Amino acid sequence: MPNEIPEEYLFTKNMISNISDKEELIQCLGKVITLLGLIDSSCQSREWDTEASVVRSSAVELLDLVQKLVEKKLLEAA
Amino acid sequence: MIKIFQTGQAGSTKYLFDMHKVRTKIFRDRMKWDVHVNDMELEVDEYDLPNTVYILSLDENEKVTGTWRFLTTSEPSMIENIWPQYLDTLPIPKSGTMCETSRFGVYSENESICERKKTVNAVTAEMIVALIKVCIMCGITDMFTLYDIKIKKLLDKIGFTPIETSEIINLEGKATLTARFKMDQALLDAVQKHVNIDVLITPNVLPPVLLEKFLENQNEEKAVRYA
Repeated sequence: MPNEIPEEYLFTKNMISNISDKEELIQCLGKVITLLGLIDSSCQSREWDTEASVVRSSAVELLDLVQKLVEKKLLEAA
Repeated sequence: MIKIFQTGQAGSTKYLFDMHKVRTKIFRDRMKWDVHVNDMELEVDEYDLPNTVYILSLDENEKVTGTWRFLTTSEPSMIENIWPQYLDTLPIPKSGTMCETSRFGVYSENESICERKKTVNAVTAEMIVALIKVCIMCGITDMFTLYDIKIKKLLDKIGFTPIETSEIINLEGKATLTARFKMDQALLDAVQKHVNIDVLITPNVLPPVLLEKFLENQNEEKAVRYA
């Protein structure tokens, strides 16, 4: 697996856990998209087939984290 | 060709990137809007959420030519958060069966104005037909959106007419309004009568968030049928 993927994953996960405003949310959304791009382009080049689905699932879990966070904020605002 | 997806969906990342890049070209470069563009030249904002659905029109090379963003009104609403002044005359209920659309745009690199106009008309028609069909399939009854009143003439011309509109409000020097469209067979028939195109939308092309709504809608229809 390209080294940058675990690094980007951990960096993005950490960013998500620290979202406190709109600007940070936008940055995180951009980061998750970038991470998915890295993973998917590496999958296509078949560099690390066996790990790919696990890592991709982890990246998609980050999206779930963001969605839950937004829903929580919505509930708080209601 | 129409592509419908949400962020994170397997096999859709190349369209996701292309769409965010095309949005940069349309909204920052062409329309000169003050939008967030990151260091990858992707236009992203706080409404590009995991549950956001994108309806894209792709050309023969699978490049994005048309983009439209769709969120149910139970999710964060741009109109409510950024331009709440429209809600005084057209409230938007919070609902999982109503939607708000935004970031509608068509991008063509064709140098001929005539060809560009043709692309804009064809892509607009294709995306509107696709959106109405998706809404009907998934039990989305109403769609809210904000537009410049200059667009009204074009929408009327193709039969895409709202059932209700807000008062006209001056937004950054432009006369704009929000509109509510009833997403039903009558609207689809009216549009198709004018544009004469059809778009095949089957359940297997729906992203997970819409597939879930489609299945719920199917169950509700069955329940009504057997009641």
